[in-house]
Amino acid sequence: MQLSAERTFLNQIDEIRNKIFRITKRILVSQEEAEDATQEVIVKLWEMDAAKRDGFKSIEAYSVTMAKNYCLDRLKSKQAQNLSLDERLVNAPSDSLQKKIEQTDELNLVGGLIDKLPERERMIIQLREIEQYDFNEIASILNLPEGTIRVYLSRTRKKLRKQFTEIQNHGN
Amino acid sequence: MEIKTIEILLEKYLEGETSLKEETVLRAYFNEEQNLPKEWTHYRQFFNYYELAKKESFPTAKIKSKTRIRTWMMAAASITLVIGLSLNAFFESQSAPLEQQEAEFAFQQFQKQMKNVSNHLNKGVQKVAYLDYWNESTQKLIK
Repeated sequence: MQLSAERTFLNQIDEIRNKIFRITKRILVSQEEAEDATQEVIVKLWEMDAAKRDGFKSIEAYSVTMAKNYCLDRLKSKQAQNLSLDERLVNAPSDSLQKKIEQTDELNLVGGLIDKLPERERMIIQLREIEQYDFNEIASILNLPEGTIRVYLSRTRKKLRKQFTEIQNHGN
Repeated sequence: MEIKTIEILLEKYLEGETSLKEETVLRAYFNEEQNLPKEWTHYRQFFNYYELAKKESFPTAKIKSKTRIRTWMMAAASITLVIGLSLNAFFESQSAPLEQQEAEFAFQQFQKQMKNVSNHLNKGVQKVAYLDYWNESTQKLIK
């Protein structure tokens, strides 16, 4: 009984885990921290009462919200902030290298621009452009009104586009 | 896809007013269109990136290799343990008679020594008996 319950959970969780990983990585901007955060969230989900877990309309929306809250808590704690800052410094390519990346790998450039956005904009871009959630789903995950999500999304789309074209023109 | 349609959709897109369905149209157009107008090439970079980012998955290979190493280590440890125990048992069975002989020899030596000690001690006790006698006589004299 226990074993089959576990298997059902694992099947259910497999896709959600990838999603959680992508979202936590976007918020924490660190591969390692995102891996840890994903594991933590999955464990928390598993430890939850099965009846309660199955009672949720969408375990996915619930887990994504959980992951988001977990990440924001991590960011709030000073320790995590120092860690991600260090990692960013270590990973930051040198100027000439940066230029090379800009010219050869524009996909990296897009990812880099998104990662430099403020937390909320970063999350909205991830949830809409990559995970392709509906506005009402994003609103419930981020606990913001739909209108606000649209305003943020519009602003961020324009901002990313402007930054991208600026860097490209600069390179040429 | 008609360019005019895309243009309208792009405008809506930038205002945050496109639905998921409309965004799917944009996605398909920018990821597949061969003759992309030059002023739109940057959109392709974005939609390409989103498409790619969507495919990123949790690095399970990492966990798997970790557990694989762990099982190998566990197997190696248990094999070592079994070999160690059986070698130990083997040597014990081999050396048992020899050790027993040694122990018996040591015991006999010890017994001999103890008998010697006992004999000497008894001799000493006999001598002490005189002391008692001497003690008694002096007591009488004092009285």
